[in-house]
Order: sequence, then structure tokens, then C-alpha cells
Amino acid sequence: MIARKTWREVRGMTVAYTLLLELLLIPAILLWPDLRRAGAGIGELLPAEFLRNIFRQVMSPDDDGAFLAYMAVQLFFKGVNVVGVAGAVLMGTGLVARERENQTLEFLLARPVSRSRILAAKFSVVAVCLVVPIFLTSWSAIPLSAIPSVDHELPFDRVTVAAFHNACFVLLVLAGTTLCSVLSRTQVHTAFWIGAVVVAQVAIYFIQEIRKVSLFRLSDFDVYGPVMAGNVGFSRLFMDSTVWVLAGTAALYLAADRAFRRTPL
Amino acid sequence: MTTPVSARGVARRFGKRQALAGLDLDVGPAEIVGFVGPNGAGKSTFMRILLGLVSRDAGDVRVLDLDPATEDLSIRRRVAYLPGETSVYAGMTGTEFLRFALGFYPRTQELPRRAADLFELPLGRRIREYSAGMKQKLALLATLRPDVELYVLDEPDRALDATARLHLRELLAWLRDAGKAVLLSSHHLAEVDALANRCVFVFAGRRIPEERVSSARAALRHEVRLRVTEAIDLPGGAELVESLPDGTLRVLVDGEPLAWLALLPAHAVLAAEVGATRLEDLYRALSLDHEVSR
Repeated sequence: MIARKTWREVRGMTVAYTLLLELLLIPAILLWPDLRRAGAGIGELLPAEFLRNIFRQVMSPDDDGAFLAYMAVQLFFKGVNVVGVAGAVLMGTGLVARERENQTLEFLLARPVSRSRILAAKFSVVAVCLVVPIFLTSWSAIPLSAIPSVDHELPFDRVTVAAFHNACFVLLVLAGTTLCSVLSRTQVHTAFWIGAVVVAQVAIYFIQEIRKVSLFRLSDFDVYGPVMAGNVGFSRLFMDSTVWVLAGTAALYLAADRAFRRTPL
Repeated sequence: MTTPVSARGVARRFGKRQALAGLDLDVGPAEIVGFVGPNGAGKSTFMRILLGLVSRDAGDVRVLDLDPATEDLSIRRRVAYLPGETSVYAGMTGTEFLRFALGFYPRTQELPRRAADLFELPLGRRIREYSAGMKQKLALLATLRPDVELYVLDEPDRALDATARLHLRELLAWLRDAGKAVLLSSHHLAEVDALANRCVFVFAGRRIPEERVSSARAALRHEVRLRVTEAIDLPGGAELVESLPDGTLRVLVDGEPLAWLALLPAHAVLAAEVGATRLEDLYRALSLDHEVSR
């Protein structure tokens, strides 16, 4: 019942989020031949050294390798990291705070269902709504890349591994948002706190000297580039990086569950 | 036989505020107990403790012989609870909301259909188009399931019009006659008065002792409310307490009220009511008493 109700609440956002992911992807792929022709000069205009490094890889003489690097940027580093994180924040803020704000929380808690089950049902529906479009969009890039004007091959396994890691990162943001939603009295408060954290993390990421402490280092080009190039497989990615993302997600979710069980109405 | 509610010395503190300070309360089968007190007296907190939604700091509570602190899910399966400050999901239609709210329990339609007939709600419409009273009726429909043993209702008549309150009164009487127990909190004292087998008064988290209620009731036995057609001189042995805006006189009689009433000129008396029968008066008396004792 609760899962169905949650799906009703987020289905519109899920469709919009999926479309946005896809709409960002399609022109990016179609733009590739023009970008390739424009040459490396554009890259020197980029403001940060790490961005120029990424651009150099995208403009490498190996056409196939360059396209894979380009897709790592467009699909994951830019696409999911921006739209996925925004989706996690938008869908996650309402999980508990909206019920509290609309004074429906007590009615829901008065049903014969434990608070842990209520939170699990709500979280899992939103998690599925966030994760499934990531895989669908990533896989849709494979046939799109094969159209004659682009004419490149995207390996299914590499795309899937990168999408899996990126989905885990989005779940990390969702778990953090869920914790904020449990602790906040209104959706606006939730959005403010989680928004502040995300903006701070992005800001840190763009400061060369301290960017290594940004959470976005767990989901940037240095993660997806080697995966798409075929240099890092699933097990190495999982052990080096994904496991930490999952551990963080689990810790934040358990904190949210504990807070929800203890929180007053 | 299972006792619907048995609570002894229930205490709960929120920060510096002592919401409940050792409250005792029992509700028996086939009984409606009025739970009366001012805002912030601790009524809602006590009801939430019964459902296991709020933990207690001290005291012993049994609901259907179960402890809400450890068996809250079992209690919530067998108790119908209407929160006092609740709302309904505005995006749903009435039917969708009922399906959602009742979907957590074994299927039974008997009471909701009966209630739906009484309340005449447009269940096909979106709840956001409902008035406050209609939302409250819908919340009642979602709460008043027939397959439970105890009803804990926190201001069920909030925002209801007079007709709906009458329908609610009928429903609650029907439940009581069917052997159900009802703990009823309301600020509409006339409704509580009409329905409740007995009343429990709560002020500042404490129950007013039964002996104090009895003495206040006894004092009220000497109060008479008079509506007169013309100005009259009151016979001796009585004191005018208050002259109400509607022309009603509140008079405190020293001796037997009926004997005193007989001394009045019959043509000048439109109506006379001897006190101690109105919950409102009793509540006012206890409330004043509480203010004085603070």
C-alpha cells in the first residue's frame, strides 16, 4: 500500500527525470562528430586543469578511445551526476518531511505497520525510480552511438558497470536526503540542508587543492574513464570504489531508519 | 475478559514540559468514556501512548491486555485511532483514500458503507476539493472499522456541521451498543454529554480525582438556570451568580432547588433547569477549581 502510494507521488517526476536524462544524451551523441572536427583548441578554454585533462583524453588521436572517454563524460560524469543527484534530492525530500508538513504522518504511523517498513517501502520505490532510468538511458546510448553519423561501438558490459556504480552514487545521495527528510519538519528545510551539502561538495570538487575530499571524487571522470576504456573491470571498481559508496549509503539509510523510529510525530 | 484500556500513573515529559503527570484511566467494554480537558492538557499525548506512537516515561499501560511499548503493531491492528491533528492525502479521491487507509486491515465494508450513507460524501472527487468538514468525515470513514474492539477518537467532531455531528453520535452509540469501547476526546461538551457513559477530566496532565468531580457535581445540584419573561425579585435563600447574554439567570440556591423554584411566580418563568446535568457547567466548575488551586 505504502509503496503504491509512493509510486503515485513520484511517477510524474520519474518520467520527467528519465526524459531529461535522455534529452541530455541524444544531442551529446549527435554533437560528437562536430566536436571531434573542432579539435583540441576548445579544451584550452576550460577553467580547471582537471577539466583540460579530461578534454585532452576526449580529443586523443585514437578515435574509439576518444569516443569512450567522451561518453564517460556525457553519460555519467555530467549526465547522471547532475540529473541523477537532482532527482534524488527532489524525490527524497518529500519521503517523510512531506507527510509531516501535510499532517498525514500520524495517520500513516497509526496503521499497523512498523516505521522501519514504512521507510523501507518509500525508500525502495524512489530508489527504483532513480536507478532504472540510469540503466535504461545508459543502454539507449549503445544503439544511438551506432547510427551512421556517429558510428561508434559502446561495449554493453562497460556501460553497465559504469551505470551500476553511478546508480550506487545516486543512491548515496538519496540516503542522505532521506536522513534529512526524517530530521526536518518541512520539505523546504530538507531541500535547504541537502542542497547546501551538495553545493558545498561541488564547490570543493572544483578547487584543485582540496578536490580529493569531495564526495564527487567517488563519481567523476577518473572513475568512469578507465571503466569505459576497458582498463578497470567490475570487481576492481567494486572493491576500490563502489563498496565505499554502498557502505556510505547503508550507513546513511540506517541512520535515517534509526532517527525515524525515534523521532516524535 | 479483555479490558480495553487500563492505565496507571502514566507520565511523559517533552523537554521541560510535563505533558502527563501520573494519569490513571480505565475504559471498559461497551462503554464510551468522555476524555475532557483544555488544549494542552495531555489528552492527545495519552492517546498516542495508547497506540504506541509516543513512548511513556513512567506508568503501566495495557491496551486489550497488550503493552503499547512492545506490542504496538498488535494494538494498532485491533484499535481504531483517529488522530486529532491529522489531514488526508489531497491528491487522492475519497475512494482511493479509503482503499489506502483500509487496505492495511482485513477486508470489511459493513461500517464504512453504513457511515458513507450517513455522511453522504462525494467519494469520487479529489480530496483537495473537499471542505474541512468533508475531510474530517473521510478521516472518520477511514477510522471507524467495525472489526476492532476499541476506538480511540481525538476530536472526531472537529469541523463537522451539526448534521454530521448527529450522524457521528448515532454511529458511536451504535458501536457502543455493539459492545465496543470508545475513548472520546472532544471540545464539544454537549456531544460528550449526550454520548459518554462517564467522563474523565484532565488538567495539566493530571486527572481530576473522582471525589473532586463528585463535590463539584454536588455543588452544581444547587445551581438553577432560569429564563424569565419579565424582571422579577428572586425569593430569599438564593444568590444570583451570573446574568448570561441570552437573558438566562444563573442562580445558586441554598436549599432544595425544586422547593425554591416553587416560590417563583409561575407566569414569569419561561424555563428552568436545575444544574448538575450539564457537562459544560461541570467542566467550567472544575476548570475554575483548577485555576484556583494552581
